[in-house]
Amino acid sequence: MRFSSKFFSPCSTDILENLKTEATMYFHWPFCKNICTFCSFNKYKKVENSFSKIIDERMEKCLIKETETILGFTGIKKINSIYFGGGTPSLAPTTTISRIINCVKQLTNVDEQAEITIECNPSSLSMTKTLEEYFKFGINRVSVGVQSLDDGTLKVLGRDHSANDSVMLLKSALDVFGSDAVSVDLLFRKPGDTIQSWKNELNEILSYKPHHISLYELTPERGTPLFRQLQSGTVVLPNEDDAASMYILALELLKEYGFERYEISNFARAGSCAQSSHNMSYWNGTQYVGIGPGAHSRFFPLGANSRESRVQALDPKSWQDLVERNGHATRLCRQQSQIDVLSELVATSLRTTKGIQPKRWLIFQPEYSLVDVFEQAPSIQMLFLSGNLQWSVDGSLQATEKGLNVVDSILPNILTVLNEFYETNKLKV
Amino acid sequence: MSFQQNFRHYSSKSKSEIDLTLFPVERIRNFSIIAHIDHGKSTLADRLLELTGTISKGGHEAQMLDRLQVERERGITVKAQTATLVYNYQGNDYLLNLIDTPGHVDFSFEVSRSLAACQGVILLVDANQGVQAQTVANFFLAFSQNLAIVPVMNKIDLKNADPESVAIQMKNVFEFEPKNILRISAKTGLNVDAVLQSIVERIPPPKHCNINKPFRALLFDSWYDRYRGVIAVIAVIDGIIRNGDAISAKHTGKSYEIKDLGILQPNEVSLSCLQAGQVGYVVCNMRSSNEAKVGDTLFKKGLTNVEEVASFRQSKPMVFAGVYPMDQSETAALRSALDKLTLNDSSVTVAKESSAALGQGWRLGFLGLLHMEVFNQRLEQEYGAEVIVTVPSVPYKSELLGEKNIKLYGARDIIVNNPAQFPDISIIEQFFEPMVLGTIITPDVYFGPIMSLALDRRGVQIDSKNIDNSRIMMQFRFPLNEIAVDFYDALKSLSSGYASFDYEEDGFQESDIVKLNLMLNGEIVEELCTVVHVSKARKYGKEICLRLAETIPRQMFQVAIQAVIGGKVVARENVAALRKDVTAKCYGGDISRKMKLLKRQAEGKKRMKSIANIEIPRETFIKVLKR
Repeated sequence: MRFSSKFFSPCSTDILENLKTEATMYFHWPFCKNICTFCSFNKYKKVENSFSKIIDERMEKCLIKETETILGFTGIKKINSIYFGGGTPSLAPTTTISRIINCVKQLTNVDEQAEITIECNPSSLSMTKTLEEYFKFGINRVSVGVQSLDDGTLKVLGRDHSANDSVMLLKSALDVFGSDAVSVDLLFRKPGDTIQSWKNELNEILSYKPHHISLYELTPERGTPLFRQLQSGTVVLPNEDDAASMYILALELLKEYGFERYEISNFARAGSCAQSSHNMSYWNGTQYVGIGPGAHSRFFPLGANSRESRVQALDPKSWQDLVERNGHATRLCRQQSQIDVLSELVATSLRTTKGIQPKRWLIFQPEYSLVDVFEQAPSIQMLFLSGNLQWSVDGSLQATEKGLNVVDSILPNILTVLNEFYETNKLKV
Repeated sequence: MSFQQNFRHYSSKSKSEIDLTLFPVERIRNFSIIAHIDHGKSTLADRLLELTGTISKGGHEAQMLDRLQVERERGITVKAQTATLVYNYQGNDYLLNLIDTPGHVDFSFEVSRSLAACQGVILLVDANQGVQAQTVANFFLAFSQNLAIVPVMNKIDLKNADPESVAIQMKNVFEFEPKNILRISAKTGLNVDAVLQSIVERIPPPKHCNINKPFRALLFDSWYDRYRGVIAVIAVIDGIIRNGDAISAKHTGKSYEIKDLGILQPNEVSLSCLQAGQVGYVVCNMRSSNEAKVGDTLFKKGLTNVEEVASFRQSKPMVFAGVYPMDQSETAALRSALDKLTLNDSSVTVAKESSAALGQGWRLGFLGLLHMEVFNQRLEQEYGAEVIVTVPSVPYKSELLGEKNIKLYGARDIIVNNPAQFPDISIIEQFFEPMVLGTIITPDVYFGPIMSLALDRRGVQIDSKNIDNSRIMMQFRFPLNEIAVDFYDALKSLSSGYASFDYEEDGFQESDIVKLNLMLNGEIVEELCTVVHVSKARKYGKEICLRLAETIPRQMFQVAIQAVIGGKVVARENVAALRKDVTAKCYGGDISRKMKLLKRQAEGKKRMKSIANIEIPRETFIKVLKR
């Protein structure tokens, strides 16, 4: 399939201008009741006491203030989805969540159907009532952090809930939001996991009939307590070979249950509407605005021709101080080159089954098509021949089912080809 | 040689009290000490220097004659060093020139060139360890040159010394009468004076010397001094040589003017002249040790039809190995380290070699295995350069088939030093491989295991005899290739360290050798190809396939590793395809870290060699190729 770049180029500027008017929004609630041993996100332990109400109020005010400021920097007119993550956002007062949603709705257009998700932890909800409240003020999707169905494992990981708490929460969420609007987060390669125990765990989850499951491999990150425990040998993880078996077993089992893998870690029931449109936006190059401590953004400032990558101040205290002083707390702001933007697009979208779509590619590179860059490159020919990469009917460059399992080996090749293409054609990066 | 050592030599140069003209040829003795490693050669040399007042007692570093760091550490001498001693015998002063020889397997070439300047040797044997393989090799070298041999038994002060049975060994192997063997302790000085007396009594003065003829001398050693250039060590045969004289070298045809000359004690001592029969150094603006051809004849400039003192023979490397920097950015540093070292050791041949897997490197030729090891150690220790040394190979001779090919190569026989340059089998009439005559001396309890080791290495037994009640001497003819890798280690380990081994070159022999190609998914990998005897091909093929299978990282597809001879697969291993290589993590908005990692990986891939689309890290090649 060869798509002429000439055909697209006349309207590509319009498409880019259009892209600049749309975005998704992410809000970060940095507090947790308890810190999980494996977590490397930006999170802080918060003790519930008489001051916590004041902290929450200040947090809310700052989140709203930063939203106003940052959106003001952009030409964004429409927000396609909103996501509350953390930390533990379900610990935030429901009124805070509601006010933030209203704020976004006042500043931009938010469709009736726009996906609004909140991460819920079994520990933080008492339960059904909160979920119902969420539902009432417009949240339409929840992601339940089950992680494990084994109480022993939950304890080792520092989770502050039981397997039963998770199941209760999952059931209520399914009741309140419906199967298509609930996602389950599960970890594999946990301490003590065997292939059989993992299979049982997955089977049990499937018996509750959610339509969306996210599978994450427990990845020890430097600086986490888990990392230190592994180094000292007090905790042991299943070996790499078993980890591969667990992932492949999950692929087979989920397929059997009618799930489709639409990204490395994300599975949705075929024929359902359970895919997360918020996440898909990250992976196809849509602008995103991150509000809150440590949140990341990618957007075009008003009138600018290059995209910015932004990171907000990490620590909640300094973030708040900065927001109160400057209206926002951007700590790091970098202009991205064309090749930076394309590299991110490639690295994220090749992890999805759809792959790199030509219409998304051309928004950022109207001169040369995907085919121009990748079809002839000798170093990736073998990836096609060995059935790891393919061109789809609509001209997308995709990793095959097999290729997705080894996409970390593929990506460096693809990025090298991209860089070499820019070098040989002396393109301005 | 390091800066400090050079400096020491330079600064210690002084005018000597010795007047060499007082020594006629009859009162000169040129001799070497030959011994197996650790039999006390350097200690004896030190003691001789002390007794004659050449150096002061105890006021010097241990074992004066071992100049190189690696020599001191390993107790072996690599470069021959020379010292002139004055000894008073029965009222007359004698000039004794101690010509030090390298003390280990494999420097037989260096030994023989040192011996060319001598009329006699001291054969030193440890009274505890007895006759060792190297003693035998060195004895025959001296014997074949018709040198007078003074047998000396050392370390008789040791508690477990067994002089009686060592004397029997020396009788059985060398036919020395026990009454003629000196029994000494170089460490305590016991009887060392008798050694000096025997040198005068039993070793003849230099022969065929004539002080009235024009100057003529044998160049038998040299080293490089960064301030003064080459310092050549010579034995004067005829005439007299003085500062400012013009001389020529027979083999190179070049002429020089003498800038400085003198004797070695063992540091340079400047004198005004050297005359027939004497041994000393000359400095004459030779730029590199390549000009100072060991074995060359120096003579008064302008003479014609000069007779060569010794037949000149270019040293011939017998073991080759590739040398590469650990990191390609160190190429320049390694080059300069090699340049410096080869200035001092012209017996190492250097050829540029480039490997797609290991990058730019050099193929070095060494006289033997220890020579290679010592050179590499010097490279690492004295220059701090970390190097990859590939598995050593030996030169093969091939006889070409057909006049056309002979014309093309310019000779019927061609020598191939590198398996990668192995000619196509279809144009070869016959292959020849280099052979050695190996001598093993061992306690007889290890006879069985050593026999099977030797047979496994394609050894053919030539001789075997008891040298005393419990020790046995065995001689085998081995292909050099078979002893080139880990033979010495295997021998030591199966005899608990008691067996000793030495070898001498023994020509080429017709052989059934084959080129073993290594293929990855059907594509030949040049740098992994090797030349082996047909009987070893399968075993070696299997070994290297296994090693590769363990070190090649899993790819996105199965990798077939095959060892192939001609069209026939003799060994095969598979590397299964990767099942999973993906981080199942949550990548939402924060992908900066992932991008950084990918960038690093992409850069890493650039450094990998891709063969048949298989990405092979440099480390894999290093693991497989490194010895």
